[in-house]
Amino acid sequence: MELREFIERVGQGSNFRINLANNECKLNGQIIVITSAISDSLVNDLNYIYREYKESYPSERSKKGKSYFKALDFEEMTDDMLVLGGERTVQQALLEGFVLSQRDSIREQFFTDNDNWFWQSNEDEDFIILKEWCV
Amino acid sequence: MSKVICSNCGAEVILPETSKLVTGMTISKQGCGVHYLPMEKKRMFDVVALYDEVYIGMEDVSITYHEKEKYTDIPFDDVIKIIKEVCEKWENDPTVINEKKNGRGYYPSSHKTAPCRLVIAISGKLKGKYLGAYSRILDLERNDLDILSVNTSDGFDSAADRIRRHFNEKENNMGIIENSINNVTVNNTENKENKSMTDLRATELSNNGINTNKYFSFKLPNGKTITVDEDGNQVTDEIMNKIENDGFIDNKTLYRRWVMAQFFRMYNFGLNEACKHFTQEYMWKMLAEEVKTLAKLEKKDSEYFAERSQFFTKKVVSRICYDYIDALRINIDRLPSKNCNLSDNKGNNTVVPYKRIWGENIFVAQIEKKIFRKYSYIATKVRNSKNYTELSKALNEFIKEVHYLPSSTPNVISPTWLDAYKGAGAYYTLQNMVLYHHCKLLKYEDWSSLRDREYLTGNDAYKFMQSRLGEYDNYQWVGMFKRCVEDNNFSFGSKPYYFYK
Repeated sequence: MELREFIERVGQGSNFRINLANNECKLNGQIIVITSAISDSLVNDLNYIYREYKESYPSERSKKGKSYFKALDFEEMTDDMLVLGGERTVQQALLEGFVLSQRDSIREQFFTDNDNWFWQSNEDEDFIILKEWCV
Repeated sequence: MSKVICSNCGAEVILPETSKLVTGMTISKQGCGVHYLPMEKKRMFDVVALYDEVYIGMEDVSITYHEKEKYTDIPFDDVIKIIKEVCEKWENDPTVINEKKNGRGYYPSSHKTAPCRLVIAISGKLKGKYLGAYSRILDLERNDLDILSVNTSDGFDSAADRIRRHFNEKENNMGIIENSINNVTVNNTENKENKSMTDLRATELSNNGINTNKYFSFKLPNGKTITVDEDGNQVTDEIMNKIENDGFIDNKTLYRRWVMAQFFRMYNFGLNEACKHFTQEYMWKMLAEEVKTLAKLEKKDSEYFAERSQFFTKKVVSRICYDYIDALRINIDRLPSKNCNLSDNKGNNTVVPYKRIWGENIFVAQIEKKIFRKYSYIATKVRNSKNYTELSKALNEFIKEVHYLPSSTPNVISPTWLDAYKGAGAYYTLQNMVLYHHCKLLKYEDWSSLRDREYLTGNDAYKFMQSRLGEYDNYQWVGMFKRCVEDNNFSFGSKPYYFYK
């Protein structure tokens, strides 16, 4: 399944669960495989998608599940973010699905040394990818 | 002047006449440092700093200072007096009179075409958070006066930058002040002012019995400073903590930002289109929560309750219940009826029609008795309830019995609920736009007011809205909101939803 189709399905209301450590993705209880997408600049794409996720507006649906990445609370957000941001569950599916599909290229680019056990973004300190999720 | 007894130390606190909206807590140098007011006095704003520095400057068309004065350590009562004095002095200034003669004076009708105006910058502990409180409390009713808040550590020159930026924003109709306060760039810092603030803080701490000599502070790489105890534990300022925890400074939930964001998202999407996406589950859940909060407010805060209860009244709630009963009746009429044979004791066979409803076979003659009587009994409870507490009880009882209907039935989502939802959304977005986004509001009284086009801003506009609460219908609020957006060219900028290669 392509990532775009996966996000559309989540936007229509279907449940998803992504386990980055086990390289597993479930859509409505069924295991699916997300095909790897093409990205010219991986770091820029990751940063952009994370920023979109961080500034998305929370909903009751997003409060139920847990997520791997940190996002802003309602009280920390400005009015612009609340109006213009996307739905948090959709943005979460996009971010986690993108990390899952780019698993190999993330491992090759960020975790060449044995010492590093996490990667931190230069743009945002809150954006962290652990090595466990990509090995 | 009104006297209030502090609930913490028992001292008498004298409030100024203008502090109608002030509540919760006041800070003063005398007595216990922080005075708590009783809960009855709590209203919109909770904190007012009595001692602060005030910078007063004058502004002309080319946005340059030609006069500046500085006042420090003024009690809150005197701030208003000084501002009024400066306003009089400014009006009698020959340069200002010349400019007004040349046709550049202030025009009360519109906010935008007022190039000759006075700017007062208030600094100190306020730091922008109390800006709304000040503009409300002062209540000077002048269109040519702007009150800004400036950081003391930035100095007077950066205050000028701040004011210039404020004017540039106002020209572009993007007068969001609060967000830009944090982004002020510091060029010249004045150590004297910093010292005065630190001395103030030290005296306040020493009055509370905290020895400040044994603490030391250091800077983190983030730029934040932390004070540390002898044992290495982090020390926090008690007064600031209390203000942050109890003082409602950052309490943005009072103004219902969430409603504004949700309504604007709907407006960008198209109001009628967005209403089609509501589910029955959301409708009942939202209604139950709204009535529950209204029941709480009825006991605690009568003023806010009077404002908020205009939309979801008892009449509206009972109408929603009857709407559900109507939709249910249509849905049951549509169901196919089957026939069965019943035999008497004498051996006579009769054909009786029945329907299968929610997994039960019910005779058509008994549908009214077995299904609708239950609903109409609870709906009368809703209609005859005296308080909102009784109303919420009856409504919850009704919601327990509700079965979600198929979406093909007409008026599944009650049109009265939609009307009230839109009206409340439009009212609270208007309130936010007027008070915190500096939008102007058309003062509509009759058809002649459309010709003259008098606009209101700030607190005046909010008072005008409050005065029209009982008169206007829900669709009129939506129309007023649309008009306000068009007049101000108001938008939250243009940004793509998300992109992905």
